[in-house]
Amino acid sequence: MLSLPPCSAYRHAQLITPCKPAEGGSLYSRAGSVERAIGELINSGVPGAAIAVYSDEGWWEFASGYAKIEDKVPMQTCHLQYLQSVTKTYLAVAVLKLYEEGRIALDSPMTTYLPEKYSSYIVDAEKVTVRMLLNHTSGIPEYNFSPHYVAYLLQHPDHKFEPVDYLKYIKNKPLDFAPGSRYSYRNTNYVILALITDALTGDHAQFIEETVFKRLDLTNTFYRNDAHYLTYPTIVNTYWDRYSDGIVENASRLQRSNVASLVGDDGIVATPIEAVKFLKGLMEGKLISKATLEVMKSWTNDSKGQPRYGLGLSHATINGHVAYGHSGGGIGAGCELYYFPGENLYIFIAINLGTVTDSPLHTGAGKAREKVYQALLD
Amino acid sequence: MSLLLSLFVGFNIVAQGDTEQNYQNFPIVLTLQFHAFAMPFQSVLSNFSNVGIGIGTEVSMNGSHEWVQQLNLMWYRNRAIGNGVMLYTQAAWRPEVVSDAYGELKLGAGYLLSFRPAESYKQANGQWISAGRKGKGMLTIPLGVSMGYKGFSSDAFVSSFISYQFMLVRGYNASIPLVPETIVQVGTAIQSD
Repeated sequence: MLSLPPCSAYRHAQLITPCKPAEGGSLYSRAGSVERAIGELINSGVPGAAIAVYSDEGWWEFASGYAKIEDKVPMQTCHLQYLQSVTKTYLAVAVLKLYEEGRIALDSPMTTYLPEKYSSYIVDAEKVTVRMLLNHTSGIPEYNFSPHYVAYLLQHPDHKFEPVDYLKYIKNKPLDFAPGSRYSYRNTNYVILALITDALTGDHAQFIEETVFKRLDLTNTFYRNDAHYLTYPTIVNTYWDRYSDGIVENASRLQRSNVASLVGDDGIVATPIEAVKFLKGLMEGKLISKATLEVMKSWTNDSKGQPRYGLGLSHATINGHVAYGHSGGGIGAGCELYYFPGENLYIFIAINLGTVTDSPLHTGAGKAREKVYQALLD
Repeated sequence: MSLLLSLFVGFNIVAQGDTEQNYQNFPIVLTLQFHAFAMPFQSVLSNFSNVGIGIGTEVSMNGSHEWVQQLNLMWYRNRAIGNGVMLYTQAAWRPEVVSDAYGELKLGAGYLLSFRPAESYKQANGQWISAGRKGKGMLTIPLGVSMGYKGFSSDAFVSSFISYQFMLVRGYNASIPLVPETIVQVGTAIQSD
C-alpha cells in the first residue's frame, strides 16, 4: 500500500530547515581556489555540495548550492549528507573490533557466524571467509544486479526491504567466481557482514554506535538504531536525473526509503566534518589498533594488478596522489571520503545529485571534481 | 465504473454466439489498464495501484477473427514512476479454443511517452528553473497474451477479453537502457452493424 509522506507539499520531497554551522575553524590557504572549483561543480548542474577538510592548517568547511531547490534552501555545512557506501568502512571497523576482541576470526568461514536461516540463501557459503566478505573477493552475486529488485524498488518507493529480502534476490545463484580468486565489489558482502555482526552483538547498528560514534563523540552521525533516523530536518533533499537528460527531479522520498532499508552496505548520514572526524580517528588509531589498521590496509589488487581495496577501505589514486577511504553513490547523492597520507590531508565532499545512474551532468561534475582535488592537492 | 459495467453487459451479449462471417473490421476496443514497472509475472498485485484507460481498433489480416492487426492508444496513472501515454500496434493471433472462447498471442511495437512522477528542474544561466513533469519518449515492444469470448448477434459483435502485456521499454536512461513494464488489461471490442 502506497502512502504519502506527511511532511511536505511536494510528494517526493522532504522538509528541510536551515541549521547553524559550528563556529570556529581556521582560515585555509587554499580556500579560494577550492571554493571556485566547487562553484564550477554547482554550475555544472549539481544542486548542492558540501566539503570538509582537515589539513596541517586545521579544519575548514564550505558549502554551496541548494540543499533543496524547490524552496531555495541553501546547502550548509551543518546539513546531514548521505554517506552511502562509505558506511562500509564504519561496519568494517566494527567487524575489526570484534576481531580484536577475539570474537571473530577473519579467515573462518562466514557460516561459523552467520545463522543458517541466512546462509541457506548463498551457494557455497561455507567456502567464503569473513575476510573475503570484507575485501570483496567472495564471489557472492550482487543483489543490485537483479532486474526484479530494481523494478520493485522504483515501483514501490515506500517499501521497506528486510536484510533477508536482499539475500532472496541471489538465492541459488552460483558464485560469480571462486572465493578468494579475485576482487569484485559487491554490496551483498556487507549486508552479510551486518547480519554476522547482528548475530555476534545483537545489533550491528548499536555496536557501531558504541564502537565508533560514541568513541569519537560523533553527535551528528546517525544510523538505523537512532529513533529519528532519516527524519532529522537537516537531511538534504536529493535529486535524480531519471532519464539521463540533464533534468533532475526531487528523489528524496525514494532515496530516504531506499537508504532506510539498506543494511551494512549503506545507511549512515552525517555532517561533512563528522565524516572526516571518523576517518581521522580511524587513521590515528582511536578506533582500532595500529596493527589492526595495517590488516585493514592489506590491499587486494584489481584486474590491472593495482591495489584496490583492503578490509572496508579503498585504495585510490587521485590526481596522482595516493588516498585511503571510500566513495559512496546512491539514487540521489554521492560522496567521497579520503585521507591522503602523503599530504596528511583529509577530505569529505558530498553532492545531492544521484550518481548510480549516468547523467550528462556527471561530465561537467567530474571535471569540476578534478579541479577540487587539484585545488586541494597540487 | 461505467466501462466495467459495459464489460459485463458485453459478456451477456456475446453469449448469444454466431458465426465468423459476422466479423467486421474496425471495432472500437475499450480497455481498462493496470500498469506496473515490473518484471513479467512479478508483483502482479502492484499493477492494480496504477489504473489507466485505452481505446483502439483492429483490422483482420485474413478476413476472419483469427489474425488481426491492432492499434491502441492508452493512458495510465502511475504515481511512483510517472504517468504514461502509449501508442502501439500489435499483430495478434487469436485461435478459437472452444465454442467462441479464444486465446490470443500478440506482439508489436509502440511509442511510450513517460512523464516524471515529480516536478523536475534544470539549470539555465546559473538559475534552477522548473521543467515541469517533462517526459521522455521511448520505443517499446509489447508482448501479450489474452483470453476472450467473442459473440455475434443480429446487430452487434462484442468481444470481452483480459490481457497480460509485458513491455520492453528502450532507452529509459543511460545506465538502464532496457526496462520492463507490465499491463493487465480488461476490455471489450464492440462493432455495430
